[in-house]
Amino acid sequence: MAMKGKCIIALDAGGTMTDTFLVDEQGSFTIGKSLTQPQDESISYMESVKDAASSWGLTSKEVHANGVSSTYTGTSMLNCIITRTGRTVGMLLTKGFEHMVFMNRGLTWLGMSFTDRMHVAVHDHPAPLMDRNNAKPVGGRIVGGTFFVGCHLEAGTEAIPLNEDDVVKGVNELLDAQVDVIGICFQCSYANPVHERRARDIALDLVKKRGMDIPVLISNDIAPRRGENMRFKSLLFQCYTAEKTRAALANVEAKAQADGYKFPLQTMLSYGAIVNIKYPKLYEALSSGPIGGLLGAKWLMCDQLDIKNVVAADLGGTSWDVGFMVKGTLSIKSESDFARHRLNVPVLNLDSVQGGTGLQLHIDEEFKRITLGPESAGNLVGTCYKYPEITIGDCDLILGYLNPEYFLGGKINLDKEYALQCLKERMADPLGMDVYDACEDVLELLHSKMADQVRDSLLSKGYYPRDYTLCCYGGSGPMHMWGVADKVKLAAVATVPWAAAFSAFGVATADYFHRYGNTVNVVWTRKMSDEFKIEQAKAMNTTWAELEERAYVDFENEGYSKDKVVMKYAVQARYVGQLDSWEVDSPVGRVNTVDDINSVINSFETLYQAIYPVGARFPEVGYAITECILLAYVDRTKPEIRKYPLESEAPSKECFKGQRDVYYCGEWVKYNTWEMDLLKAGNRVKGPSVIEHTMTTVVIPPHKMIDVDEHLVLWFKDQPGTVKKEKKRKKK
Amino acid sequence: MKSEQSEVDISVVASKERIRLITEGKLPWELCQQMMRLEEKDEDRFLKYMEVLQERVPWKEKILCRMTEKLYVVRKDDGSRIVKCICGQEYGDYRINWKLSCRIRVRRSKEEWREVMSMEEVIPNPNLVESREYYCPGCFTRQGVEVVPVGYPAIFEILPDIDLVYRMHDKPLEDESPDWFQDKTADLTSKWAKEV
Amino acid sequence: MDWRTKFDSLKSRIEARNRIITETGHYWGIDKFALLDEDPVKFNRFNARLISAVMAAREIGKYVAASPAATGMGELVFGLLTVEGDCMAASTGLVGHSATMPVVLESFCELGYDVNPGTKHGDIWECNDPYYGAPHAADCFTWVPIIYKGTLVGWGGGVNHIGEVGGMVPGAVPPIAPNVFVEGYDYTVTRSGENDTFYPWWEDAWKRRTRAGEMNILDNKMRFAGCGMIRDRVLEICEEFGVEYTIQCMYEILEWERATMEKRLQKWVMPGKYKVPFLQPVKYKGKLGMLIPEANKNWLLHWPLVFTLGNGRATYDFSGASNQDWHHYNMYMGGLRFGINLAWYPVFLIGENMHTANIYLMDFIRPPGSVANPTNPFVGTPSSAVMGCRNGQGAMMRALSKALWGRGYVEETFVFEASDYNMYGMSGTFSNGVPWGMSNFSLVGAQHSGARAFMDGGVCDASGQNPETDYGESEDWETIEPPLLNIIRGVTTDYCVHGKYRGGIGYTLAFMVNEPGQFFQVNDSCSMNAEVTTHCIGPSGSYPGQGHAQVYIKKTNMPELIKKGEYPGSFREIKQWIKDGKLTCEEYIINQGEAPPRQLEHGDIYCILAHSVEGWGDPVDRDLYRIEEDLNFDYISPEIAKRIYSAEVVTSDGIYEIEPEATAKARQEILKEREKNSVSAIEWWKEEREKILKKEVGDEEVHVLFEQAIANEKWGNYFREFWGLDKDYSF
Repeated sequence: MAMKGKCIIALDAGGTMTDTFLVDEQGSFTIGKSLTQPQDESISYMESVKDAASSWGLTSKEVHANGVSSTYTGTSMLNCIITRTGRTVGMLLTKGFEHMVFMNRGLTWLGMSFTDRMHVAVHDHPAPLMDRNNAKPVGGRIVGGTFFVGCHLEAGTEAIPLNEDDVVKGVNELLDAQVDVIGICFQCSYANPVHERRARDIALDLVKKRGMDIPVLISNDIAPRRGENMRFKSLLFQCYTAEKTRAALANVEAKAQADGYKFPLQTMLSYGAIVNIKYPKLYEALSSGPIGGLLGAKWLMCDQLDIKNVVAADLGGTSWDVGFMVKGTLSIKSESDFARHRLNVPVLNLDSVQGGTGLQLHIDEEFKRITLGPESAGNLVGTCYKYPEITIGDCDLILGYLNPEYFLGGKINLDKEYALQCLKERMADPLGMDVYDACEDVLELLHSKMADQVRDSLLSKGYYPRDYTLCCYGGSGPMHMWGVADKVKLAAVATVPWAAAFSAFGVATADYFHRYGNTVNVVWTRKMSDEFKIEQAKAMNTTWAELEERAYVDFENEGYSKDKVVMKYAVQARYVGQLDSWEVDSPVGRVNTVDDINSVINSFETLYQAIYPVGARFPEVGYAITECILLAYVDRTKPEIRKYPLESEAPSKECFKGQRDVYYCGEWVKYNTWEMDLLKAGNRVKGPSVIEHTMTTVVIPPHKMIDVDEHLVLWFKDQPGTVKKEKKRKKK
Repeated sequence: MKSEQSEVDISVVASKERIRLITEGKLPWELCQQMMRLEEKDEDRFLKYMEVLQERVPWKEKILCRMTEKLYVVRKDDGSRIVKCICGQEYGDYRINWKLSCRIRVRRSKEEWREVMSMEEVIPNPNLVESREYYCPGCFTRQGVEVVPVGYPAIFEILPDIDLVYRMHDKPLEDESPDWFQDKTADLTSKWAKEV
Repeated sequence: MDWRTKFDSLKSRIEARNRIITETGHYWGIDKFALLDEDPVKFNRFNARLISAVMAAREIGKYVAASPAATGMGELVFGLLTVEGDCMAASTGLVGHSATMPVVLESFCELGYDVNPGTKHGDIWECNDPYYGAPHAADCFTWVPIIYKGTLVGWGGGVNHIGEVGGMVPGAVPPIAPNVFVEGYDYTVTRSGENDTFYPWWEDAWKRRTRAGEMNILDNKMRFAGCGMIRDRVLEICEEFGVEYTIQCMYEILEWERATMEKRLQKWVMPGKYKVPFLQPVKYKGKLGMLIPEANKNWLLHWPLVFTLGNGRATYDFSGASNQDWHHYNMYMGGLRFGINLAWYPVFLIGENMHTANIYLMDFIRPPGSVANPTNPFVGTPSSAVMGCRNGQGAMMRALSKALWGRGYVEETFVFEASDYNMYGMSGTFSNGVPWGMSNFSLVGAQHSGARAFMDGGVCDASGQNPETDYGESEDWETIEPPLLNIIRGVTTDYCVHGKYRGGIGYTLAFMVNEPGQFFQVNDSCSMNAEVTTHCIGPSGSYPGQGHAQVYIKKTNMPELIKKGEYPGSFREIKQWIKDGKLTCEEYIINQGEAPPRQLEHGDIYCILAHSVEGWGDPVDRDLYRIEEDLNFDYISPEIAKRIYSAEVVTSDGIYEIEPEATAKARQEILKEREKNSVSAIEWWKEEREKILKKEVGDEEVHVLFEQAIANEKWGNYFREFWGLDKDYSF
């Protein structure tokens, strides 16, 4: 099959694999993979694109020449942190707070496993990203406002003027120390950046006087939100990694353009926005990997198939990531942990638990305790391949779910015999069980963990599973989704043929936009007069105006003129006194009337009551708006979702690959095997079946079936006239 | 990062060499963390530990257990179990508080405290407590410190149940007896009492 | 007889449980795991469901809260309790607090409230009264019954530490509270609502009885929201697994965890008898005067914990503890068990269940009428929890650490300071006449670990309450204490305990009082061990942790200094500027430990010196490269390097280095000095014995300490034997 007209190229690079999703004007698509090359990502980029192109019988040149956009989400930021190869950073911090560089808010446990988190002795601080001697004190204080509304100084009031001598001294010392970049983070600058801006001007003068070219960044431009430690970390990440990341991406861009690609390379930010690599706050590109799938699910399910409540779940080698869309929208949280640091950067909400087929199995003989992970075999699969310990992957293999000859399309051969022996010795015997029963039970355990995560992510936020459709993807998602489908009552369960590169697909579907936020301190209580409420709301309007200006400037840099930019508005709201806020849309762009105010309050109350029991409401104390948010969009070409003509219910002859024994419910069952790429729209595959693909496997137990719809989405359903078998137990 | 943990091999992570290194404060932090993260600890650790300690002391007596950084309980040829310093100094029966075999320095005035405490603002009140430093009569290492009111008995920090620990490791000591787990400090002090 | 027996009340059910455990040694006599053996995976799955329920409750519940302690630092915990109140799964967070849930539930049953008035679906129950098992008034415990088709399956519970309890002295843990009538809003076991709704009077009570009513109501709503989520989830689980399975499985899990911990206790620690006493000064003299004459005195409380580790059991012996009295340091069982679990979990917890089964491995000797077991229901209790910490996470943790070390698990030797929180309370009236009160918890969030047997102590790497260390954001804290403008949050040079390995570097938190309005006062609570050391013993020749102090600098020239953007940025600079006359003041007050309320005005400086934890070993043995690093990190000054470590320090272009030979010589001198300045044990013994006989033991409170301790037969004999005194000797 060949490519029709222009195409969209999207890549998602994970720790081990770099996936490509390639889609043409008619919505025909293909996917490709390569091993990620952290040292030079342009290599794995080209490899992966070639791999995808080849399945259309094309070269990467031909693809690049026809590419309207190429988007790459890389691992360069993570590498920059892990290999500690960022820039030498100098910081001006409020005098008395310099030690935050190594005190680190006491967050010594981030990124550790549950057991480690409870085990205080093992905690430690992440390796510092800057020399503590390059943190220079500067006198001056702004106040951030108070919980006791109207009782003390307004937010942003200057309590201690800026000590400009300190600034001069600090900057000179940093320049002598030959830093590459200077960051400025002062207490409460989120409420009023006047000190930071003044300090920046002084610094830039000194830099100029010395005839040097050292950038100077202020925290208010990078992350204007309350919380000095997280704001500092955000600024530090920007200073330390952003330019390195940009360089790495520019390198990829150069290769792509040398290969015939005509446009700027694009990348994705942690909150799902696509930007081109000139975007200033590039540190926001952190951890964008796992969220690609969320965007894909949103675009496919919500935007194309008009299913508004969706759970998106990605089962990879190590983790089971679950996110969801309520009424077609994704939720954002305003802080995120990355590489053991806590930053003040908005990210798409994604709950991640230990899961995945790479997980190592631990058996406690005496107490028959079975633990999954936290260690993972990653791409070493298990004892059947290159990993020393038994894993879920080993169980999948000996139970017949995995085809040892067809793993990664046969590129890798798996040793079934050895896996069987290891599982018997290390698990079945200690548990005093039959090895196949034991393996099946382990999958049972995995499935219920996965199912619980789906259930919890919904219920804990107040949503009802039966209203939600599960979209399951990732290399191993389709193989295990049947386990989840049996355990959670959901509206529907689906996957797609390109599940293995779904994150890359998501990247292709994402919007091009920027997100801006700034802390405000607006309070509306019952005691207040309407006039006073409106008076307060003015702060929101001015903030939004400032943010709009920022947006226009940034887009200018990226080559988009004012008229191309579309704005959306949101706020972070809470009851007065609460310390956490919930993000809700502001139906109106400016808040000028009491009705406008009520419309904001209503969207807050609607969300809050969806989450908490009535007893948790507290309108008597009034409402606080803590942040104004601006979302600025420009147009972006999205992939067409192709409609295929519906064909016969029975799959074609050549699609059928034969049969193999699969262990199910305590006995061996003959499963039909099918070739995924040859399935047609309209086909129905009845269980017991396994649909094989070079990069993934769909498992269909006897009581289930799959319907392929006109978009080639695979719907996982109960098979009429069948009942779920009860497990037969052999005597031990 | 997690997968690094999976290469953990208990015989390496808790090898005698690693135990020696951590005992001497020379084991790199990452390897200390590996040790802490062991799912189940190596059950023969105590025996390995004793071997490691034995190899570090210049004398021959068998170490039965460890009391402080430099003090050990050892078995003498005559069958007695005594406290012995790494320097060779012998402190007598381990059931008698070893502090009563030390040289003792008492600090009472703030001036005396200043020599050992670096934060002026938090030096204790001499009218409430005194500091006692217990030196080894052999090498004058500071083996112990206690801060207590004047007249407070010297604190017998630990009386180990040596028989029990060896029995737990299926290596019962031939001279087991309930008498080994008795505080005998009074035997000494009553002797002293006769002199006053 | 087992749990299926029909009991006429929960009280008799609990009695049965206790009897069966004592008889069989197994929880509810479960000696084999029927459900586990039948289907291990179903069992594991069931357990995972319960854990995810309590985790979800915390994760989502905490956002409702208002206190930075709850939201910012996660200082809250949710737990699932059995019918008898044993916590079989708790969330992360204030894990230790889950230990008190069973004690409160036992009181609930003891009071017979399950029978009259009885309880039904939708009821909300509350208690924060230490007499009934709460750690202290600040730790509010909310729980709801889980009833499936008429069968009581268990309880969902939640605890968090609120900001203001409405005592005579404002704050969360008032530093002066001689009796329960002035210590704040203690409510006994109370039904606060029905049908998932609070009674109106209950919310009003928060506003009338505390100084931060609305914040406390939000915290209460948060606790309830979490409990409700646990209840609803467990009901779903009953639907799926069946109620019989659910109850039996919860019991099996508890026995499973108990047995696992017993195994660890046998395999990991050096059995033996550990003496880990500490002292707790309390200073009321002159503060209450004629108002409460019985409390107009000072105490030096004696906490002589003897901790015995046997074959899988631990014994806590408090014989010789001081008498209960009219102060706030009387410790009830809830406080003790809370403190014990704080240190127990980090060492012995395995898997994902945070549970309270460990209590069945412990024995307690608590002399009635002592501070360790008050019999007077009216004595003060705000520090009941704090004493629990000092005995559990303080004394016991040190014994455990030494026991792990003695068994060869050197890597697990780990201590930090449970007691030296310094959470300070405050109250005032803003310029617009609005009265307010608050407390700040942030120093609890990230304390410093002590030296381990193989490395130095750390910086902000351990927390007394929560394994997940976090001191939050100053910018958050400032919003609830507007007059306190934070000017210093950093480590304090030279504030550490020295040794072969040194303890963690101490912490400075300083504020300039900024436009306090009509009136403003602060007080320090939970800043322990004033004028003594944190413990009596220093490990292997190092010193125990140094105490804690606040510095109040009043009527300063700060208002002028700040006009030029100048203010001191470290405690060292404060002292230097005062020496140089750059910073002037009329009063410079150093206070060790808890401080009574002190009124502060605009421009005053309030400075807290917190957390210094013990070192390990003899300073003379400290590696030179470690000293160099400390110097170059400014953790210690060259003067201290010389004085304590006899290090000969030189600098080459700003970098400190140490002369090895000269230092070696200087250290030889130290050893000689030690010989010169020390006496033989018997000489020492005779001298101190004289002082005892002459009663030359120091201030009045020391006399009282000895009187009361010796009056205890066990401790008295120990004392008399040590000094060779007659059987009838009393102090």
